[in-house]
Amino acid sequence: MIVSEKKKNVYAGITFLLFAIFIYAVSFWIPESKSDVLGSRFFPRCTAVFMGILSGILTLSSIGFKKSEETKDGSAQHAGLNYSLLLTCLALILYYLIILQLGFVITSIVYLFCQCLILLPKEDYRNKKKMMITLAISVLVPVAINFIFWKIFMIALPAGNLFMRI
Amino acid sequence: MELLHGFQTIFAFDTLFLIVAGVVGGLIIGALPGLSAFTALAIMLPFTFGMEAVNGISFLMAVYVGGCSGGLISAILLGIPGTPSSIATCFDGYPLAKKGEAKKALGAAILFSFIGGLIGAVVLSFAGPHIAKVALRFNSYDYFAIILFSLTTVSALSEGSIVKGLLSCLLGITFGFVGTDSLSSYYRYTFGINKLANGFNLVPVLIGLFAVSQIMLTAREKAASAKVVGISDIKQKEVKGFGFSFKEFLSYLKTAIPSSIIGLLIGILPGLGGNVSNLLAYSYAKKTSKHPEDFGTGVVEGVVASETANNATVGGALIILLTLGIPGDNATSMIMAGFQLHDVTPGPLLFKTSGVLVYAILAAFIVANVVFFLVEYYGLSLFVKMLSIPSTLLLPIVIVCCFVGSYCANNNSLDILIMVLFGFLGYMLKRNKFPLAPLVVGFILAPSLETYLRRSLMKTEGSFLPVMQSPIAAVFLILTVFAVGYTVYGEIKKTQGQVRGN
Repeated sequence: MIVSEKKKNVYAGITFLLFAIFIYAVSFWIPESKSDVLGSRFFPRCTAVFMGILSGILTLSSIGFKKSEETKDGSAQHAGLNYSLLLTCLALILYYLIILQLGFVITSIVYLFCQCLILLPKEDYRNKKKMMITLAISVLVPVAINFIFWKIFMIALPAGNLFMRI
Repeated sequence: MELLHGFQTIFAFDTLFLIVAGVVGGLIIGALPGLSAFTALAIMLPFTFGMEAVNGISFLMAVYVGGCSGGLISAILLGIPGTPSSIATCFDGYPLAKKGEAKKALGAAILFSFIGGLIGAVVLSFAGPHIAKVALRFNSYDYFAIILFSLTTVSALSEGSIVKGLLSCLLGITFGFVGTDSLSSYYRYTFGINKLANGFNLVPVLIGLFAVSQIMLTAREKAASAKVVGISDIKQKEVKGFGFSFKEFLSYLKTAIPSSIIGLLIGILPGLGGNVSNLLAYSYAKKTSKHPEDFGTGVVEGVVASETANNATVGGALIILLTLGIPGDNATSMIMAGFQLHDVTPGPLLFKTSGVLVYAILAAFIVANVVFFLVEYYGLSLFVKMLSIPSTLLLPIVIVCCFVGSYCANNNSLDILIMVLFGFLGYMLKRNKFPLAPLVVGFILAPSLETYLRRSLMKTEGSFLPVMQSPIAAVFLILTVFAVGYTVYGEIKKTQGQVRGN
C-alpha cells in the first residue's frame, strides 16, 4: 500500500481540524473570569479558531494538489505493518508500566536488551560477539546509572512497588 | 570586571572537570550521525540534578558547545553530518577527505569552529548585559510584540511549508494552556488530573518530542542509520599543525569574519539556529568567491564558512536566551529546561538577580570553547574510532537516560507517561513533515504571550491603541507582519514555479 504526500496532508489536516474542535468545545468547561477584558477562555478559543482555519487550508490545498506532483520527489511511502516500529512502541509503553512495579534496574536491563534486539539487523542475531556486547551493555548501563544517581547524586530512582511491599 | 569574577567562580576543580567532561561527552554524541547537540543535552541533563546551579549549567553549556562542534568529524570523515548544523561542512569537507586532505579539512574546521565560538562568546559577554539593561525597560506591550514576532519567525522560517509550521506552533501553544491560568487561577484542560495543575513539565515534553521519536524513526528504518561509509581506504597526506600556512590562514579570515557575523545574527533570530546559519554562510562564501565553481569539489573556504558560522550561532542563541528568556532552537530549549531545574529564570532580570551565576555561565562558555579546541585537536583519532558505535546500540541507552531525566525532573511517574506520549506525537509529526521547533517554542512562550497581552489590555482597559503607540511594540508588530508577508510571498512564488515546471 502506498500513502502519498497528498493523502498524508489530508489526514493531518482533518486530525488538526478535529483537535481544534475539541479544544474549542472543552473551553466551555473553563470557568469564565471577569478579572480582565479577555478572560481565561479567549486564548484557547482564538488558538482553536486559527488552528481550524489553517487545517482547512492544509486539507483543501492538498486535495487541490496535482496528482503528478505526488510521486515526483519520491515522497510517497510504503505504509505496511512495520514490526520493528510496533515492537518499539510496545517496549516503550511496557517500560513505563513495569518500571514502577519492578524498579529501574531490572526493567531497564530487560528494556535495553529487548530494544537492541528490535533494532539489530536479523543477521546479527547469530553473531555471538555482538550479542554478548549487547547483553553486557544492557546490564552495565542501568547498574552504572543507578549507582551514579543513588551514591553520588543521592537521588533515588524508582525502586519498584513490588519490592517495596516485600 | 564581572566576567573576571565569573572566571574566579568556575576555576574550581569540580567545575573545570565538569566542563571538560561536558565538552568530551558533547563531542562524542555530536560526532555520531543522527545524534545532535540536543540529544547530547537530553542525555546529560539528568546528571545535573544533584549539582549546584553553577556546576550544572556550566556542564550543560559545555555539552552544548561540544555537541555543536562534534558534527564536523563525521561530516568530513564520513560525509554524514553528525548534526544538522554541519550539513554544509560535508559539501567540501568530504571531497577534501576523498582527495587525501582530511587532516587539512579537519584542521581548518577545528580552528575556525574555535574562532567562530570565541567571537560568539565575546559578543555574548559584552553585548548581553547591555541588551538585558535595555530589555528591563520593556513593558508588557513590548514583551507581547517580541514574543509574537519570535513565534511567527520560528513558524515561518522553519523547514517545510508555513502552514505546517504555524499548525505546529499552535499545537505547542495549546499544550501551553494545560494547567492553571496565571491571571484567573482557574484550571484549564487538566481533565480532573491534579498533577497537571502546573501544566506539562518542559523536560519530558522536549525529551519525548525529540529523543523518543528518534528511536521510533530508527526502528522504522531498521538500523539504516547505522550504516557507515568510511574513507579508510584513501591514503591521507601527512601535514604539520593545522595543515595550512599563516598566509592561507589570513586568506581564510576573509571568509570567516562575514560567516561569523551571519552566524551571530542567525543565532539571535529565534527559530533558525546552526541548521540555517551554516548553509547561509556557505552560500555567501560561494557567491563572493572568485571561483564559485570550485565549491563542492573540496575547497577549504567552504569548510571555514560553515564551521565559523555554526559555532558563532551558539553565542547568538545564548544572547536571546539569557537576556530575553527566549529559546532560539531545540538545544537552547533544553538549556532553558536546565535553568528551570536549578530554579533559575532566564530573562533581563537574570543579570540583576543572579549576576554571579550569569558571569560564571559566560566564563564557562568561553572556557568550554577553549577546551573543545584542545580536546578536538589532540583527541581527533579517538573520536574517529568512536564513530563506529552503531546507533542501534546507542539509542536505547539514550532512551534509558531520557526515562531517568523525565522522572527526576519532579519525581513524578506521570512525567514518564507524558514523555512517551509526546514521543508518539513527535514521531507522527516528523513522519508528516511538521517541524518540531515551532511546537517547542510555542509551548514555552504561550503562557508569557497570553499573560503579557491580557496584562496590557488590563492596563489600557481593553484598548489596543496604546499597544501600537509603544515604539518597541510597534516595530516588532510591523516586523511580524513583514515576516508573515514575506514568507507567504515566497510560498506563492514557489507554488507558481512548481506549476510552471509541470
